[in-house]
Amino acid sequence: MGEQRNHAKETVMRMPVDEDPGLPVLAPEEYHRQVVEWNATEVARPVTLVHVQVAAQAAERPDAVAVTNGTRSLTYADLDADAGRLARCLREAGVVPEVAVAICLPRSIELVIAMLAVFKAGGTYVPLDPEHPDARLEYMLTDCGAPVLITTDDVRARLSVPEGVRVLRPDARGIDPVDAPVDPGNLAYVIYTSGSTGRPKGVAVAHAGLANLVAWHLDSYRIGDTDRVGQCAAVGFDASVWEIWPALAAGATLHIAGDDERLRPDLLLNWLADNRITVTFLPTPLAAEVVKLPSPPGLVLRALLTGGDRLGERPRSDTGYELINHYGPTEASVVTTAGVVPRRTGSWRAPSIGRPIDNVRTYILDHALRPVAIGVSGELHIAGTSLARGYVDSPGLTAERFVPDPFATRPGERMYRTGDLARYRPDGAIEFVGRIDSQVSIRGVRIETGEIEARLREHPAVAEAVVAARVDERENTYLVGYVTPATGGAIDVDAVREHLVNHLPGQMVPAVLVPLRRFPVTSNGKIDVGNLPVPESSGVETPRDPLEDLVAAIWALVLDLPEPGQIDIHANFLTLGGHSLRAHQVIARVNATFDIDLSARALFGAPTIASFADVVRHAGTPGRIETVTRLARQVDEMSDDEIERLLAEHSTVDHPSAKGWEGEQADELNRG
Amino acid sequence: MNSTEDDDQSYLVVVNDEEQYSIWPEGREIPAGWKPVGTARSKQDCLAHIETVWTDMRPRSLRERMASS
Repeated sequence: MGEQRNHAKETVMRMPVDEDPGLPVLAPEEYHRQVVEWNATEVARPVTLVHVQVAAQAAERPDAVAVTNGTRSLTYADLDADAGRLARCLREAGVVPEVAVAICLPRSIELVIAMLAVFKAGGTYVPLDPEHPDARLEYMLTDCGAPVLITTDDVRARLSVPEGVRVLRPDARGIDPVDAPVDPGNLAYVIYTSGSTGRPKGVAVAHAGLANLVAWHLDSYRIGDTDRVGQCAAVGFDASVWEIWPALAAGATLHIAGDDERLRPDLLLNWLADNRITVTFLPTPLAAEVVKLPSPPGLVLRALLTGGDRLGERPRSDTGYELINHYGPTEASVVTTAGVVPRRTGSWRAPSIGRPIDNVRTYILDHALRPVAIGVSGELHIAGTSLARGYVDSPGLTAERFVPDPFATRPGERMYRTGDLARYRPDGAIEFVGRIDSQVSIRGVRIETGEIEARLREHPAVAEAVVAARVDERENTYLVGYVTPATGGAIDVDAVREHLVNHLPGQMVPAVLVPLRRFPVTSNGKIDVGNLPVPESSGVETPRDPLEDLVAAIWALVLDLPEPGQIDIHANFLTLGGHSLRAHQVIARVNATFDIDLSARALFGAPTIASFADVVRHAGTPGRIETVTRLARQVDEMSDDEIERLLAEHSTVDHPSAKGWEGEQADELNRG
Repeated sequence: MNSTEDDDQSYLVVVNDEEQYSIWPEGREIPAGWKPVGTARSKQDCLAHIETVWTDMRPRSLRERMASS
C-alpha cells in the first residue's frame, strides 16, 4: 500500500502546469481520482500465448469439440493436428515470426484452422473478408506484404494475386506438425480499418495485447470448458478475434452461426437457444434488437456481449442474461472498456461504455492533453498492454496517433489518441459522445469520409468531392457525396456510383450523390461544408407493378416502414434507414422468396426499389416471379381468419429458409 | 483534433528506449522516458522525418531477443 501511496504522490507532482489560463485546472483530488484510482487496473499475470493455451486444451481434452458449424464438428485433437500440419506448409513457404499470412476465407471451421496454423508457424494472420470488393482485397493483400495467401479456389479465381505470393488452399497439410516458438512482442494479427488517406490502414497487434484480452475475458466472464460460445462477427472485423481466441483458450466449444441466423434477431435467438449458447458477442445494432425480444424457451445464454456503436437499448426486465456493453478501437486489441447494462427501470439513461479492462488505462483530455472535469467531453486516450504496435508500414501515421503518455508510471510508454469524444460520469463509468474528426460511424462501422472522397476523386469525371454525414427525420445517419465535374460538363452519377460499389464496402457508398457546379466556400477559401445543400427528393413515385409491390413490402418489413405502398421507388435504401445488416436481411428474404442468389452488394449497387426490382427480375425465372407475386396478392386479400387458418396449416414447417415470403409474413403476424 | 487545428504549433520528434518514434508539442515538458531528436518543426515535417528514420517498427527489446534466439 505504501508503494501505491508514493505512486499517487508522484502522479500528482507530475500534473502538468497550467499553460492555458483560459481553462480551469482540476483539483488535485479529482485529478488523482481520474488518472490513478479509475486506472488502477493492473493485474499481474504470466503471459501465456493463446495458441499455447489451445494446444494445452488439445493435450488435456483431445475429444472435446473445439468448433462446430452445426453440421460438422472438429475436436481439439483434430483442430490441433490440422492446424499443426497446415503450419508445416506455411513454414515451408517461408513463414516465421513477423511474416504476414493473408487469409481470405468465409466464416468457417477452415478459417479457424487457418488462423491457428498461422500462430503455430509463428506468423501474423491478416483476415480478409471474401465479401469485400476484389479491388479492396487486392489492395490489402499488396499492402500487408504477405508472401502467402490462404484461400479457396473460388476466391483465387476472382482475385489478381500479386506476383510472388504463394497461394495455399485451406486443406493443405504437411507431414509433421509444427509449433514454432513465438515472442509475446511478435505480431499476432493485422486488421484493416478505414483510413483518412484514402486507403484502408492495417493495424498491427502483438501477441501480448491479444493474450491480455483473452486473460481478462476468461476472468471477467468466467469462461470454462463447458461453455458454448457463439461466432457471429464478420471476417475482418476485430470482434472475431475476441470471439474465437478466448473460447478456444478456455477449451469451450465455438459455434459458428449461419449467415441467416446471425443477421436476423428472431432466428438468432432461436439459434442461441437450440445450440444452448452460454456466451456470445453481437454487434450493437443486432444486440439492440435481440434484447427487445422475449427469450425463447430453452435459452441458457448467460452473457450477451456487445460493442461497436452507441448503444441505445437496455434489456427487458425479464431477461435471464446480462447485457455487457464494450468499447474499443482495433488500435487497442479489440476491447478497452466494459460495463454491465442495467435492465430497464423507470428512469432511462443511455448505457455507458463502462470502465477500462485489466492492464488498460483511459484518459479523457483537452487539446493541451490535460484531464477534463467529470462530465466534460474530451478526447479519449488509451494506454497499457493492449496498445497495437502501430500501422503497417506507416511510421508517420503511427507517430501521430501513438504519442508519449505523460501520465505513465513506467517511463517511455505510449498512449493512443482515439479521435473519440467521451466524458466521465461521477462514478467513473465512461460515456461515449461521438467522433472528433472526419470519421463518422454508420451503424457501428467507423468510416473515414476521406477514404470515400479519395475514391470519388479517382473517377475521371470528378474534379473535387466532399462526403458529409446527414441525419434524416427518422434519426438515421446516411452519407451524401458532393461532386464537381472535371470538365465543366455533366457527371454521370450512376457511373460514379458503380465505381464506388466496385471499390468500397456497401456501408461506405453514399446513399445520395449530388453533382454541384462548384462548392460553397468560406471567407478563407476552404470548402464550406456547413453550407452544402441538403439533398431533397423530387416528388414520390409509388410501386408500379406487382414485383415492385413485393420488393417494397420486403423493404418495409425489414426497415419497419408502415406503408409499403407509399414508399418512393426512387428513394435510396440507405436514406430509408437501411444499413449493411438490414441489406443482408433484405437479400435473405428476397433470395428465399424468388429462389435466387443475390449478394448484399447487389442492393448497394441498385439501392432503390425501381432499380432493385429490375435486378431481381433479371436474376429470377419469369415463372417463379409471377407465381410469387400472385401468391403475395392473395395473402394481402385474405381476412384475418383465413390467415390464422393458413398459419395453423403451416405450423409444422420449421425450416425458415424454405418458407419464403408468405411464411415470414406469417412470422411477423405471429409476433405482432 | 484534426491536423489543421495544429497548424501553428511546432513539434519535436521524440523517441523512447524501445526506439519508437512520436511527436510532442514544443514548449511542453517532455514525458519521462522520451528524448527529443533534432529541433522543433511543423507537424508535417516531423512526421515526414519519422517516415525516413523509423524503418523497423519492432520495439528494440523484441529485435534484440529475436537476434539472440
